Amino acid sequence: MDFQILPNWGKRLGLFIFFISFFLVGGDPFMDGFKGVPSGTHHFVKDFLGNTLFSVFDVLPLVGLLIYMFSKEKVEDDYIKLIRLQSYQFAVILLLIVALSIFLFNVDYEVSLDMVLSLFMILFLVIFYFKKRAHS
Amino acid sequence: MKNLVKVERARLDMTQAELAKELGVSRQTIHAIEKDKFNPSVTLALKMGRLFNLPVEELFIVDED
Repeated sequence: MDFQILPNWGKRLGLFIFFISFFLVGGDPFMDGFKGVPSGTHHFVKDFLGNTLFSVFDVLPLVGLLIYMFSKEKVEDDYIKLIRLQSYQFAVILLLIVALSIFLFNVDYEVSLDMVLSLFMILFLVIFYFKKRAHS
Repeated sequence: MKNLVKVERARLDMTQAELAKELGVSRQTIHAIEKDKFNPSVTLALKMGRLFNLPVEELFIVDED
């Protein structure tokens, strides 16, 4: 079954959505960290967008990454499908190792769902990129 | 499995990118085949054989070891 349901221009769209929403949502926490003040001190973007729109922008980086993942390469062939599958497998194994390590060291450690999803998608994309580069 | 893709490509004076375009695959695929990292599908092997004017069993050699 082929999950690459979007055309190649979906990659550019996904990146555009990811970066715009990432900088909008991450702006205030970045300023908190940059100035060393408690989390939530800066809320310029949240005030500007409003709670509802901010919640939408909060999930948009994940949506952008998902669009990027489901977009076809310029040339789709058997080899690209093979390294994509290997990248999925490797990302899942790495994620399990990370999850198990966290569990072993601190049973009470709580991880938010968006962190897990982001980690999986970023791991997959990085592995896929390097596997493709290995035969360039 | 070994193959003569690199030799035959050089004989036709083609780059990996040109061969990839001719066969409708990615350049990474040609590179992986030449390095024996990937065995092509039957369809791709037949297309290569036709392009290089060689039988597939001469282009791809199965290691008996």
